[in-house]
Amino acid sequence: MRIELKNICKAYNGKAVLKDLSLVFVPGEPAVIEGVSGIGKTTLIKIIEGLETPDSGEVLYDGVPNGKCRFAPVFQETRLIEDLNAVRNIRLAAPELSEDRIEDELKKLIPSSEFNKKVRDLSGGTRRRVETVRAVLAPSDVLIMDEPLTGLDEDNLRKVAAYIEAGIGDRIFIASSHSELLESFCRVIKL
Amino acid sequence: MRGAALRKTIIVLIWLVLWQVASLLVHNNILLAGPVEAIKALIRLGVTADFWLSVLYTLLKITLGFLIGVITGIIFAFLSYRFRLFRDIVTPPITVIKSIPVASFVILVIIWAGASSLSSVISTLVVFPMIYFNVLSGLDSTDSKLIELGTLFKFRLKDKLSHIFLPSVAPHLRSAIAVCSGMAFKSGIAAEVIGRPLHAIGTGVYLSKISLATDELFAWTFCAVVLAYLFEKLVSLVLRRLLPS
Repeated sequence: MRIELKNICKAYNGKAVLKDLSLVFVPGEPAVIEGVSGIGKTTLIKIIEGLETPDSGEVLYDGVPNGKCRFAPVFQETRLIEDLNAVRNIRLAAPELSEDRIEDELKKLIPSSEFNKKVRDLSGGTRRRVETVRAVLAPSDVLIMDEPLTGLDEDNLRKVAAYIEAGIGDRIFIASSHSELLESFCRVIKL
Repeated sequence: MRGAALRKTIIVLIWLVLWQVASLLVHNNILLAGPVEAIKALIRLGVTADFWLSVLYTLLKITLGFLIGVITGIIFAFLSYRFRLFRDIVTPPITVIKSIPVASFVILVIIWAGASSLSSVISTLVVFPMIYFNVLSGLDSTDSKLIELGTLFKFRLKDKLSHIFLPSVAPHLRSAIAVCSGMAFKSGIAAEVIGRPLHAIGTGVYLSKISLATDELFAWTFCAVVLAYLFEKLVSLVLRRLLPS
């Protein structure tokens, strides 16, 4: 899989957010997008995911515009099915995995006492970690994370960063972040 | 709880007594038959097979029409949500169906299909637009962020329906069905009064009108009210089981 952005431009209300941006993402070269708030990191991620359309330019998936590509995202704001527990949330994205396998993975980041609670009753940091496990476990070509380390305490920051690094496998990895922890294994793209 | 039930019973009894007193004062069973005459008429009707056949056929036909209206309303709403062109094509005629008086439809259906399936067709026509517009509005108000979540992770269709769309559609569907179940009965029986199919509550109402048997009219009406009430209760019971609150 290869994702290529060609001359992407995007403006909101007449204000240019992304200007003539060209980038290439391939497996084995994890990338972290950095820049101050409001500079267009989330917009860029949404354009790559196909959730936003650029004003000009194109995104090629294996050389094909609108080509087939399976994403495993962590969104900027937590998106979970609130009435389900962590395991069931992950199974929706990875239905072929057994509950035991999912629980084994979750154990790496959250205490097992949290497994059977509805995610609406979990803390912000725990919800974020559930999302990270979901993205890592979901079958995908691209692991794409918008600020995956937000809301985590110092200890969990390291654990989650290490978990992500170990979970990338042969997928493309793209993240937006302000954290040095991702820089340690990613090439940095400054916006 | 027991106090409230007692209070309700006493209020109902007061109204029944007032009704009986009014009928005694009027002293004319054609103008106003009292509750005692109505109950006598109900017992008189209740021992005939024709009465029970009428109740059964009306119940079955209206239930059938109601179910067809609910199911097609849901299917059309999903198609309209999914395909913009479909929505643009079907919404104007459904809006027209919603605003046409039931009486006009009754005449048309009698001409096109005869009186026997009348109450089914009419209850379908009353229920379908309400279900369609309510379900569509539920679908339109589904959280777009959750839709993106389901799309990117490629949730299975049944998971998308049950965890993303159903929570948004359920309140709309529940309130629409609650309103429709009563309306299906009222309009279905009104249609029977005009079309007079063999064995129907509406036909009983019509016959009591031409024979000026007000007591029988009340008996048939009582029967229709009880049926509609039981039907609404049954529907809400089924809904509570099927739809999340």
